[in-house]
Amino acid sequence: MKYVLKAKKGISTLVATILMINTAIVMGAVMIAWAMGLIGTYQGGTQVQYMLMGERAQEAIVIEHVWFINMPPSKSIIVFVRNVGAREAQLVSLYVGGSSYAANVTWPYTLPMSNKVALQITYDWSSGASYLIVVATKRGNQARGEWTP
Amino acid sequence: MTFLRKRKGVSGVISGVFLVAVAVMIFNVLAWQFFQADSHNHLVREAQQREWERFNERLAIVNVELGTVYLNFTVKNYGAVAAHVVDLFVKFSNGTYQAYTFPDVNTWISPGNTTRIIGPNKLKLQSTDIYDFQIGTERGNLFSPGQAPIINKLQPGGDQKVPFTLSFVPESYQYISQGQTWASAKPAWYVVAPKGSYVVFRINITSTYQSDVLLLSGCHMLFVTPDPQGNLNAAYKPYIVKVETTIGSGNTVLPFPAEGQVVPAGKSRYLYFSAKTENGTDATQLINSAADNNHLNFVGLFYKVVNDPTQTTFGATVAIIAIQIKTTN
Repeated sequence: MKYVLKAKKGISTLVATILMINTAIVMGAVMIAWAMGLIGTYQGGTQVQYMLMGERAQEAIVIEHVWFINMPPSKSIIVFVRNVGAREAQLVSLYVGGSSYAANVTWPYTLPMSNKVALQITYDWSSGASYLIVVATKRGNQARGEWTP
Repeated sequence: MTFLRKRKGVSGVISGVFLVAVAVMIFNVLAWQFFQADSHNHLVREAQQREWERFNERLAIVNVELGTVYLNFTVKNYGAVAAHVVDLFVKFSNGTYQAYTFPDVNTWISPGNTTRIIGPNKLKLQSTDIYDFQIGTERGNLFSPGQAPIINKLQPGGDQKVPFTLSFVPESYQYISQGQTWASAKPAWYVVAPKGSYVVFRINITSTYQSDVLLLSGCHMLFVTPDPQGNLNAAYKPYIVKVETTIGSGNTVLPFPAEGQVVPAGKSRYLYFSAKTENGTDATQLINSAADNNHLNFVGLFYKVVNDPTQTTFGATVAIIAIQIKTTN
């Protein structure tokens, strides 16, 4: 009887050890799964961030030329914008003197690589004055310059 | 009891496995991050390269031709990169604007090179036009000519061009008669030859065009002796003949080639004159009964400019040369 009880004690220690090992494996697996999910989320977000930064670096526009047109009774400005980047540019706004103006195109306007667009707005400009002209893209790039009629 | 001690060793293996798994995960994340950053840096370097090329693109409009039907100007690339001219902006003094782009404007200029650009056919200039213009490149740079505004009309004392020039050295104007070769040619400002001699003249001209020029068969010399009564008294009218021709048998010369004669841009070439008729082969003969005379020698040239889109036939008097012909028995 004493031997048997002693033997049962030995079995319970074995079971306890197995349980401990299983618990440790399960907890470790849960931790790894949690960590992998965390890393996956981080990688997904970072990848999007890098993609946006890469697209922005590839996009480049310049204001090539500006015409100040005086055809009475109206005056207008034509802004020639050229895509000098390595991908298409999406123009979303045109600012003259700090104010946004609706041009003769529909925003956002997709400007293919190496192409040029003439953005025309009606604007009562004055001869000799200086105008800050800014063209902005959807990716946050800008082309800007001061022009004088 | 020994068995249980061995079980204790298993937990070490398990923790080791987890440690390795965690290390691999961290390594993967770092490696992924590195490749992403490298890829991004590559894009940024490309963008910086484009910017560098844009800042180092430099063109100069060194000459604008006046009195032309089409916009005609010369551009020098003094930058570090080849430039592709794709835009043309023209502003006229009457307030009108015109913009042309690729493919109407399409010229590549290598670094250090100078190129003549002729404006698009759609843009026709009038002699009364006063205008200013700019050219734009594919990299978005804009360049203007030094002078502005440009008055297309040719003006006195201004920029009227001389298509051909003549130098005054003994070799500039020569002649030979029958039996002679060009190695023994003599200066033709003062001709002494037997009456009735057959002669060939040659004159050395320099083209001032920046394009090749194609001379046509109508080119000729005209020798006149004006008298006090106002008569011009045309004496000889030798037409252009083949280069280096001499007086052959039957007093003939080689006819002017059907394809014409090309004078390369900015180069000097001899033109030979002798035929009595256009494209003819009969050599000019000095008049048997001619008294010694002083003549005014007009050289009339008819030509086309190679690559001229209008293929216009131009005519020019190269020079007026005084020639004295003294015939002997």
